Amino acid sequence: MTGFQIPRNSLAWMLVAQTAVIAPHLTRLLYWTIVLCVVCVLWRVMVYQGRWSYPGKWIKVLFVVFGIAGSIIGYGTFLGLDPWVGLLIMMFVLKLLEMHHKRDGYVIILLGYFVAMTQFLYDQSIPSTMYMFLCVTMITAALIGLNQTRSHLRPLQTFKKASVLLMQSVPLMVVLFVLFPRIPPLWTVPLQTDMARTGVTDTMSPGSIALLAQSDELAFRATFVDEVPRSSKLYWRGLVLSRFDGKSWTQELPALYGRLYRPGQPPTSWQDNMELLGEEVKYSIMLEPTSQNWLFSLTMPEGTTKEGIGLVRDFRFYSFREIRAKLRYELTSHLNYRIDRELSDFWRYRYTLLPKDSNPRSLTLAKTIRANSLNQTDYIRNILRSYYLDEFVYTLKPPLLGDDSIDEFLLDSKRGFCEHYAGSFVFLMRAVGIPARVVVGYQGGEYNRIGNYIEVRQFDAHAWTEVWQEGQGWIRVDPTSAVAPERIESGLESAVEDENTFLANLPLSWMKYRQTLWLTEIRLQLSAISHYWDSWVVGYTPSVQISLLTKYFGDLDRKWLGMMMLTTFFSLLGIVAIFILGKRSHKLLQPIDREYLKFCQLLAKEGLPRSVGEGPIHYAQRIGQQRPDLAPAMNVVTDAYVRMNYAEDQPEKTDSLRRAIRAFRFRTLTTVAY
Amino acid sequence: MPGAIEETIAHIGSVLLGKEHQIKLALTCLLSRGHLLIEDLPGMGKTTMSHALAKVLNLSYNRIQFTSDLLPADILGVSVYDKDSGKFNFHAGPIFSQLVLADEINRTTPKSQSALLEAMEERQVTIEGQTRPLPAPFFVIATQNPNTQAGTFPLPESQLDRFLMRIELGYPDAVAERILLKGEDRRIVLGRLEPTMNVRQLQEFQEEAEQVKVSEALLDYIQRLVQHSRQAPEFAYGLSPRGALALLGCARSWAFIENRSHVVPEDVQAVLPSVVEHRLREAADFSGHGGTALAQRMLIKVDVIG
Repeated sequence: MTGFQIPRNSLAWMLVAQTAVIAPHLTRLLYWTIVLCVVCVLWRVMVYQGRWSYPGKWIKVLFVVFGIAGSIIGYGTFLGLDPWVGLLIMMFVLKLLEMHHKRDGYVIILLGYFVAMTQFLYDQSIPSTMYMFLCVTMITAALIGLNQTRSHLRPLQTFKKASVLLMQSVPLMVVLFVLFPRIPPLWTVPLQTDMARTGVTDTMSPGSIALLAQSDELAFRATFVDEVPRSSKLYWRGLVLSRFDGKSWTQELPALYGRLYRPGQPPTSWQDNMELLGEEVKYSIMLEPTSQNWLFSLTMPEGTTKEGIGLVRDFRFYSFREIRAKLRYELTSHLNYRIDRELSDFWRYRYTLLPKDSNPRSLTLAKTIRANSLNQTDYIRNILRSYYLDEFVYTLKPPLLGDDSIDEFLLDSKRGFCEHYAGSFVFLMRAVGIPARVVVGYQGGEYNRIGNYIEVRQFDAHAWTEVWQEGQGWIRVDPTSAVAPERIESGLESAVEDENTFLANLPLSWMKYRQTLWLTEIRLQLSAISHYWDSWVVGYTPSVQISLLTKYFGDLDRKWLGMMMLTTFFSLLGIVAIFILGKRSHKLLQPIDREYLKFCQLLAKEGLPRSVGEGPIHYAQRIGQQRPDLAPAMNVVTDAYVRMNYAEDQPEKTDSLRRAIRAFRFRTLTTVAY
Repeated sequence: MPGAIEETIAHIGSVLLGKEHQIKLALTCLLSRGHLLIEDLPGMGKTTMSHALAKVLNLSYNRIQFTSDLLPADILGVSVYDKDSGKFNFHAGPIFSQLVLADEINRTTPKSQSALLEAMEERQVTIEGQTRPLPAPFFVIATQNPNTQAGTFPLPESQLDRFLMRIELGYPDAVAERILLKGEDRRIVLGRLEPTMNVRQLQEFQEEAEQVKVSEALLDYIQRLVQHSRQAPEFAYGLSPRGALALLGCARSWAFIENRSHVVPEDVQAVLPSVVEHRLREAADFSGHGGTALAQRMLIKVDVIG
């Protein structure tokens, strides 16, 4: 092999950077890939120390074949991101054993940048970004090290230089970030960020929301333009579940709803069924990816104009695409409203439908209470009162229920979470012919005064009901508020305070320490920072870019944007160039020097340039020897210059020198003629 | 060239053949009231040159041969007890003369070297509590063998700095050498040399040299040179302000010898190697050499104009 030995600094940084870049992927890698990484790094260090030599061709082939075969077996598929990232990392490390030339070092470093970027496919948060910045600095240090001589023995110096370089590139980075036209990718890789995401689902069965409430993951953040409504008003409507099979609730068949309302289309027939009253609340929601289609809004929202979002028959929003990345949308809601004042017979039928022969005891109970009630309103009140009077318990640990879950809940266990109350309440309504439906979404949320937004987490998931009343339309009834009013007023934590089950499975969750003031302060700060990051960096989508730039530069399209970007880029480059060039002649030339240098350029064109360290007299002497014909005129100029520049103190008037130069020019022109 | 100076150079040149440039440098040093260090191999005419200088300039002349057992008293002088008068009489050492040749200065111990160098700096000698001024003009020409030769105590940088100039004589060219080989014994020629000026004239010349005009543009150039030595990576350290002053003073004297009323960059360039070489060290060279190359680089890289 050739004698190329990678500089020590470069190898050190390369290995460190490689480790750092691979580290975040560790949990996703197959364990043998990690073993392979360690082997390769050790082998490379041994090669550097001269104890081992590079592996032979067949060993390398063996590594590659086993690596690919192992990946196929280990992942079982080559669809998705993980197998490819795994393969990339494997090749990235194997390349270490093939570093014969400087060029190979460059390949590893470029691969390093690439692998660093793959981390963003998984996580785009601030800590992850900062970590990647560190990684990129280390890779850059390796790149610098590769171009240093072996006498550079201080790796920290190299790292410092890399940091400075990177810092210098930050302004350009910002400009490119803001201005570079954002082009949608040619193909999309199914991102893994939506894996293991929980959230409100379109099926509600006893225990499903209680399970969700174990999580402190962020669901969304809502920023209000004006004042934030009271917590008890914050019902974030997500889904309407109206089909019941005796145990779980699901959505109405989409076909029955008829067509969705899409922005920009003529209004649908059912849109008139919505009357919005009272003051409007303006807010925007930054929704975490759910890989679902439904969106959350405060009741009742006006229509939206955002592309890709439609309004469904039951007055909630629906995204046409699965939400795989953070989604920001702006809404206006009216907390007072009246919807579906008229309900057709068909819908009356649908909303009172119950499965046959299920929960017979509850059915009987409903009829008994109805018989004892004056009217529908009284009946509803009686039911809610009985939840309260019969000492129902609001608990995060409801007992498991059998097939006739509502019977068991209402008459036996009497312990349940919001889905039990919502489900049983709708059942009891339907049992006596009152149209009712379950609504799931979130309720409440934590107000962050630093960022002025409401932060809604998974444990804020909630289920409530809507009951249709003649002349009033759908009205919201939350049976949970009858059992545990504190859930609605101040959130889950206080509602389950007595049984101490709030986030019992997450002992280290920030949320558990809300009583500690300074921790809360820090948490709110971090959350606010993270929110700004999500809104302005991660959420800087093509449409946001266009609207932002439109705001400052007026209407523009992609072409304009590209031109502007290029202009900015080159003007930046120009400024840098001027700065660099300007440094060389930081002192302004005296007029007389300028004249003389112009004269020197004249001679340079004749092939007689003055060298930098050559004084005027020596120059004149040399020219005199090389071109005796020029000597007399040359001497006149030189004498004038020397006299003015050295015998006097650089007078402002340069006339005599200029005259001499003009004479010289005339002379040369005539001599050159033949 | 003022007539007397021209004559002086011609006279010395008749003894030291083909070395006009070095003679001019030595005179420059003298006119700038500085001391001269001549560094060369034995037998290159170091002693001849200093002797000739003393003769033509009509200066009192003493030669001290520096050896490893030379003591400071051998240079400065000693008080001896006179039995007749019952007093101590001071017997002045060889340093009490207008031109002192300190031959092979790097062959003696640092102690004796210091005695000479102190006298050079202060132009007076303090012996047994009594300060005695040295004659004016006072001019030391020290010679030394290149440091790498055996049996030498190289002068440290701080002491080298006391010498305004350091020159090398170098081998004579073929023509000069032929004349030397064919001609008379140099010692006889030396004995025939006639003075070309007296001490007063010399002092007048020194004063005149100080009056030579230095323009802003020229100061700019000197500052650029000094700045370069302080910034360029190949220099272990830059020129001191004393070095810059030395450069300016020598350039003035050189311009005076060239019979110019003002200094031009070529004057600076002519004296620059002799003035700065022994004050510089290359960053990559720890043995103390490399000043020659550095001086050349300064001349090439620093722009004369601008």
